[in-house]
Amino acid sequence: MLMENVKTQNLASRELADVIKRLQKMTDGRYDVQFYKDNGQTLMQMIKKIMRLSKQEKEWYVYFVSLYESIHVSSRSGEKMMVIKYAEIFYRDSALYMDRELPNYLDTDMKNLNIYIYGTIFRNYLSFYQIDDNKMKKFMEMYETAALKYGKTYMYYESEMEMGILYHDLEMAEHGRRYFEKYEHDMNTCYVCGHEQYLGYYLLCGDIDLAEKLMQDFRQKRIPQKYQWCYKNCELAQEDYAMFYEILKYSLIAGSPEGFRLFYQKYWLTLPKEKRREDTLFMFCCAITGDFDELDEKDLRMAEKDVRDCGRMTTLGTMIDSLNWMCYFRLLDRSGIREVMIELPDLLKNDNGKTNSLAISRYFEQRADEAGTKLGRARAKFDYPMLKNTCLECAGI
Amino acid sequence: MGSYNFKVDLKGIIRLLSDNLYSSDKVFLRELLQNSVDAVDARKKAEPEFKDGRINVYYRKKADGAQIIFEDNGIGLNKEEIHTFLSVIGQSSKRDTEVRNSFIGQFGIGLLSCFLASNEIKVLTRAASEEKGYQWIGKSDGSYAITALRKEIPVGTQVHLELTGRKYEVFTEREIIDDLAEYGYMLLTPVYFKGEEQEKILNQNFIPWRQPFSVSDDILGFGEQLLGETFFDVVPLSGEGMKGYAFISARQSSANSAARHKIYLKNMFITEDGQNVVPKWAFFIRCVLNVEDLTPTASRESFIKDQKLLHVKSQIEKSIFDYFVTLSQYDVRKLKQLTSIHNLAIKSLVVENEQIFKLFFPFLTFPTSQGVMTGFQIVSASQKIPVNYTVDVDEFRRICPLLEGTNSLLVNGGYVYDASILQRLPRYYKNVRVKAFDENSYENLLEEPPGELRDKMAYFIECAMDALRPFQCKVSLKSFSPNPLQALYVQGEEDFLSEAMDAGSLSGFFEGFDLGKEEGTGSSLYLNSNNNFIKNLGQVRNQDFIKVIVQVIYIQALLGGHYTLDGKKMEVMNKSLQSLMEYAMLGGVGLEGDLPC
Repeated sequence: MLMENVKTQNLASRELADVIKRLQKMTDGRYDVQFYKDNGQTLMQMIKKIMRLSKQEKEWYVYFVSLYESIHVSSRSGEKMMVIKYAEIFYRDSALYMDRELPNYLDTDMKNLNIYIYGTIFRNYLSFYQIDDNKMKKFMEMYETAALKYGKTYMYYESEMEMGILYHDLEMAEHGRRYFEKYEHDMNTCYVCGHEQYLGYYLLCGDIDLAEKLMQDFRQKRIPQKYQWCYKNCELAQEDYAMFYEILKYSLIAGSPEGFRLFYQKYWLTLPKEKRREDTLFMFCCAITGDFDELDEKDLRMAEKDVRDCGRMTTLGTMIDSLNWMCYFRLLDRSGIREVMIELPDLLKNDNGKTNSLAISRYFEQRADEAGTKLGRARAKFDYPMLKNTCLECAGI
Repeated sequence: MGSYNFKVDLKGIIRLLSDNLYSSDKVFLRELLQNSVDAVDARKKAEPEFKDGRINVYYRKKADGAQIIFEDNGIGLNKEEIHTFLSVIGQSSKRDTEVRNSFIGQFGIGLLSCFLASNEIKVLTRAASEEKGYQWIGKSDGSYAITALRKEIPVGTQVHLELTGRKYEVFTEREIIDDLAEYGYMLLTPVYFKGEEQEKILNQNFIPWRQPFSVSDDILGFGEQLLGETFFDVVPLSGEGMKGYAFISARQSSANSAARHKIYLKNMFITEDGQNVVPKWAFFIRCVLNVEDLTPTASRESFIKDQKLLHVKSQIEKSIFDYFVTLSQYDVRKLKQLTSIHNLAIKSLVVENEQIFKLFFPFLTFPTSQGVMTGFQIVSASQKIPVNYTVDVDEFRRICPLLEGTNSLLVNGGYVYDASILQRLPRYYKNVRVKAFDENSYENLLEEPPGELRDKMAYFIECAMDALRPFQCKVSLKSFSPNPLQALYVQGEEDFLSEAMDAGSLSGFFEGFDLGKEEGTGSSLYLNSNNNFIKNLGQVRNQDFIKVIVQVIYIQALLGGHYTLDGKKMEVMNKSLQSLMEYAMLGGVGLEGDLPC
């Protein structure tokens, strides 16, 4: 539920209370990503109204909670650019108002929400080329300061592990892991989400067995008793397709084609057919299997949508999706389907209105290379060629 | 050094019971009734041939108050048991027996509750296995005495209480009859009351599930009698360890009003509060329920929240869902009626459950730009025309006029649950195109004006933009319905976002991002080129006058859109109107003096 801890009966403004209650009712019990993707627009309309009214009414606690939700919902609903915008509001308004208007905020859940904001911003900054090494360094310093101040230090080191995995920097990942384990006793959020980076860490270390064991532990609920509650709420903990997606994604990012092959064959293939096309990465898996059964109804439409939506996505997201589609269309061509009906901007069609599969593959390769080069220039440690080769090897190309 | 025993301050314990455990002093009646029921049940178990269990309650007025006597022909207590169970707090005869689970009085504190009503308790008892009876008198100061009785008494127990002073005033004969009748309504052991004013059996009641068969009118009547209201229909509840009915209220209920239920444990009334037993969303339902297996709290006024309780709750939920499914298959007319009475309650249901959503959605009603429509009508409409919904009532009021003459439908999703329901539609119904109306959707309603008019208005629009710059509001000319509507104000990206973007990145992070002017960013005032007044504004060339006119139109558009005017805008409104009046007084001569903003 969004804005769960806001007690509307204490608010002077009935209008504000009413819209918060409606938001709470609408999101009660909803934790799945698809819900936020489907309804992000609606939710953001309400959240923006709450931000405006609460600032007007000087209900500062409500204002900052709604600011947190704006970042949270933007990120979950795929509006990554909006996270960047709202982050600016957060920096400015927390500096201007937090200490002055909410002097006791360290005794409220605002303390936790502040660090969650940093965590969400981190995940988005990490994936945008516009955040270069200097900016990233500056942000990580702010993040670390906040983590120490607010007492959720483990979150900072969780993020450090993620960064180490992306950069293939084992030393950084190891440092993050050591300090994460030092502070993780403070964790009061979902255990599975809080430890999923270990999947990538083990793959980065080359230990596929340990990564598999961890995933199985998550699936079989072999986690500490006090965190069992997360199986009620967390999509990653509950749904196999969500878990398999994560481990396949980490296999690519960590540069483990062997890992990818294992998890794709042993796990992804066990998913029911209707769950095998949930995401672009899964489409990539379908192509590896030679499953083009829903080419026109689903696959091509998803490729079109990914291109349409690229303005809302991160650099890394665009890059991985484009690499997936690059491989997809090459495999499609290999399967004998040489041309298809697809609408992609700036891509020429043949006289019959169709486009060559290989031409589409090159189109996506170009997009991936462009994104990869940009991110590579911005971050000295990011190795785009390795990621590209991993994808090609996974696809058997 | 030596070993010692804890001492008990009986007065202190009684105070604890009164202040912290029991919700009301009258619970002693239930405790005594329960003890009698348990004693009769124990005797039946011990003596299978014993069939005529009976409880008598006597009420007699005395000079300084009244006397109540609870008498049963149950198993009674022998001398040893009197010492052990009546005089040792926390020790219940029912706890140590193998058939503990048959009795609900297991905590050994029930008799103490009598001290809430009286300073002295006298118990006369004879065990079924004994020839002689005993008298036990306990006082609130903690002292007690046991004597053997010379005269013969029948097998069973009598508890005598003297009500004096304030207690006598509170526990009148009428009150006691009503309370006993409530507690004992479903007891199988007959309870006879013999008072000064009345003599009657308190629990000779029609309990439908004990009859070979019952017709629904009888069951509805049963519900009406117990719950004090009329009902639309009834849903039988039966499952493991429970029997009862869920009555559907015949009038609209509110989610906030506390619903009254009647919940019994082994036929003894426990509570009217169903919040732990009845699903939260079922606020239009009243239950009469007898459970066998739940664990009561120490006060016996509620239930421990354990797996058994959850199981009962889920059985109730399932029974109600199955009822709705049955109606949808066999009695759609009734389903429609039910939906119309409990539109809001059912809306709260449909957001919880897909099956219920598909059952009820076609019958739910929503306000739309074309009047109130059912879910079915909305889904049908979406197959042919674009359907949008607003998440805000004010937004709905703003947009509605624009849709006159257009081939589209707007649903007001601004009321509780409605937006939640509408946004779930595409998930449950294929090929339904229903979307939330947002700033970008305005583009579909606003057309480009004729080129010639646009040219004529160009200077006016340019001045208008300057006039509204302090409000960060763009001005443009568009064509839309209805013609009498002069202008439309659309609130775009919130001010604080615009400020943050315009001020540049204080943090230094967003340089390099192309976050600039997205569609819908910034508020807009759209002047209606179909409106005759607006069309003629192209003739106005006086810049100051244009400023005043535009500001008036702007304020009118805000008011028409139900936006709140802050202090700054109020000031603008006042000064602009004043300027217009001055202009009129001066007979159209140019404005003088300071102008607003």
